[in-house]
Amino acid sequence: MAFQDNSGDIIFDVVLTDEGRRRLAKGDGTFNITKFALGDDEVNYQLFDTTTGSAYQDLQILQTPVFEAFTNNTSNMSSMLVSIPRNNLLYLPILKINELVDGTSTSLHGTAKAFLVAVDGNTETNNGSTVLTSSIAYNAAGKLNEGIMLGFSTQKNSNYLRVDAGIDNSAVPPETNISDLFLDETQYSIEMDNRLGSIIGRYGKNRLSPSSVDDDNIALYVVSAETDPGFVYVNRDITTDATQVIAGARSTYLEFRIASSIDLRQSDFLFDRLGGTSTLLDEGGSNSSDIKHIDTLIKVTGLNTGYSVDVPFRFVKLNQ
Amino acid sequence: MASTFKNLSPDDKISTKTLLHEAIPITGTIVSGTYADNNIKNYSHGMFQSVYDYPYLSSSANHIFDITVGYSNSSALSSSSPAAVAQQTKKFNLYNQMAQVLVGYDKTGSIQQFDENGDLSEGDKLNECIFLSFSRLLVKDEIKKGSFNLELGVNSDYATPFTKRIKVVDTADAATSFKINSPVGEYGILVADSTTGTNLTNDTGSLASGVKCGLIFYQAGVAVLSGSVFDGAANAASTALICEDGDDNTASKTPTEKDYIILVSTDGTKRVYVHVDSASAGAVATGTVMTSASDTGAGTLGATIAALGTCIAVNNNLSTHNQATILNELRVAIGLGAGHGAKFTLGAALTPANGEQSISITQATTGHLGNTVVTESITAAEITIANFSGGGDSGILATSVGAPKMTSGESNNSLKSLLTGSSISGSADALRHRIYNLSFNNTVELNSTIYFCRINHNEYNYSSNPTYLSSSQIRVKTNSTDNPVSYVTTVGLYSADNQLLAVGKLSEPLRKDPTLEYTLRARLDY
Repeated sequence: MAFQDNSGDIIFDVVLTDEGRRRLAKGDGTFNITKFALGDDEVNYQLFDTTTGSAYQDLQILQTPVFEAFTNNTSNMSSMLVSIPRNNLLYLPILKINELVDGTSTSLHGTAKAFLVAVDGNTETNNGSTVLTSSIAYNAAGKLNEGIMLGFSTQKNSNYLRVDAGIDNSAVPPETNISDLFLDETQYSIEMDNRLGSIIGRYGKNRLSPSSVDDDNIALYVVSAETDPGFVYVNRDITTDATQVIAGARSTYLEFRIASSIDLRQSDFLFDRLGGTSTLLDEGGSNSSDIKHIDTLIKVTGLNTGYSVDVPFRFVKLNQ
Repeated sequence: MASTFKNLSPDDKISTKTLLHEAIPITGTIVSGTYADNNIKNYSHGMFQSVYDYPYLSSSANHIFDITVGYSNSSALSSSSPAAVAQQTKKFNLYNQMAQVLVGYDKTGSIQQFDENGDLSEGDKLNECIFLSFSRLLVKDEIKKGSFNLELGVNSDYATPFTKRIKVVDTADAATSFKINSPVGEYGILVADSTTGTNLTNDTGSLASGVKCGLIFYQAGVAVLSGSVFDGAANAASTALICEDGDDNTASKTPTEKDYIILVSTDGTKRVYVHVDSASAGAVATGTVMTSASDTGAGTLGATIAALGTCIAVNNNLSTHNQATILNELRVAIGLGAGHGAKFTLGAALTPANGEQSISITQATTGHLGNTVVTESITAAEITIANFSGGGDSGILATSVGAPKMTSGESNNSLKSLLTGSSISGSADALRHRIYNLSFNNTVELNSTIYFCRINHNEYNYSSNPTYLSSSQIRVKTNSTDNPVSYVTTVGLYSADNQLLAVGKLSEPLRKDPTLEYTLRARLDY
């Protein structure tokens, strides 16, 4: 998309997104605009200079060229403006991946720098073979490898993703009640490619249903502390120990893992179309197994604070 | 509680309708000339011709309109011999197709004809029509009433058609005075409104208020031009029998036995006038309908001449009669009932005299069909007769103003002859050659929903932009008492299930802090 002409009066260019047009075409009443939000994707607040006079503080920001609107619904509104009743806040909460809380269970894979989702039984354990095999989920000691999620054996304990919300600054200490600051995060949205998998609870005992799937197969899940206690927890830990990634006042945290889709389990089509090939150490830890993989991002957004974090995931399948 | 979404109340939404107009100017040279007709697409079926704004094989080309022609079963042209009429069936079919779509059916289910003034119950019908169907790309939702303007060259010289021009427009009050008795919506009456290069006149004088010459269907985007646009005044075709020297009876300068002249009247009646020689005994009398065995004087008619058509004897002493007397006898034969009788108006009989003399022959029935070919076998160069010419059909243009000659071909000297003598694509070519300019305004009906995104002073003053924070501390504040600041570049419009359905972008960041309130007006057009 091109930049908009910013030489004269302010122009407000509004378009339907592809999802909007799809719903309009469906004609089933799902095209119904009920709310709005504001975004500032192009703005770099690092350009705000608090050391100069007020007339010059945001001079560079105001000159920021703005793109024309993208019609892809997931390409807009990456960062939203937030309404908070108080004006005297100096700190705001963020979302942060917590890789420390449960040993290596919540860590990203060391070399892939992503969570790996083993999509079928062959990739996990060579379908239950008792000898050393080419599977990549476990090590020779029978321990789940770091960063591996069991996408097929959803009933087994598996690594999982945890995202913590809170003020990551010790100036607002953990014992501060974040609700008093109107900064509590009570609900999250999770966006992921619906062709690859779905969201299940950390223990594999419950699953989420997407609230909608858009024209690009992006599924949107919404979870809240009230209705989804198996996913959203209140972080009552006020210690400063090493398992906490939020240095200051803590709000809630979100835990989930991924179940691989039937398509990925039974077919290589999406791997061939969207992915590539690489190697991972096999169960013995000495040989490399050829795998097919698909890299993707899962976006977690705090719906109260608007803060979002993109979590890298890699869906892997033995290449056989 | 912090929040990122704000619900829109019913008062924040409103639906409106706006009419947008675009000017569509089509220069005549684009239609004919600029691209050497590479922008003209003809089809193997020959039913119509498409005009593009660029050579049509290019991906840059846009289809702008189609041209076709047709006439009704009620047209005088429909009685023409099918053998002489190019694509007659297709022209019938096209007229009927256009009529059934644009005019509809009567109570018996019969297709109604185009009507000159839109009153289908009475008045003149448009029997011969040219159809200009404009593409949706140009028309959009409809042609704006009162904006249609087609300037046509009507000069008689095909090579310089634009020396004299007429302007075909919908009536000045078309915006408030239009017809609605069409199945395809509203339509107006086209009139020849003004001219360039000459005053527009017809046989009754100047046309001060314009003359009806077609219809314009606004929503359908079709202009129907009556054949009268290009027709000249009603004239009868004529020719003349001419002799070089009326009182000269030199045998070598008069016809010989069995010389003949073939004349054809407007209705197609053909007679072969054969000279028989009374100098030899037995020659049949003037006016005799001859057979191959009929006595022509020294011999008989013979099968070859008899096969040319109905032969009528013209009896003269070809050895002694002078040229004027011979023409007089021919005049008698033509005037008899066995000849053409009342189908020709004949000049007075000659009194033989020294010098050139002539007898005029005029078709009794006006119209271009009287422009027939004369065939003769008279060996003497002193007696001559030319083809009939000057025949024309009634129309809005006097011959002196706009000649009816449509193409460079001599035989196609009126719209009607073109309609019968040319293929549909040939007629379309001729029309394009005479389009000087064409313009109209289109109309787009924009249905809009406006969403008023009201941003109060205490809303959207913070951002979740990752650059907004440094270790969770807000970058734009030094102290907690400083006002928070954010910058709006995007407005997202969402469904209840948080799907982004529409997005608006500002051309530059808009500062937001607790001292400011905005109402952003997001308009979605459908």
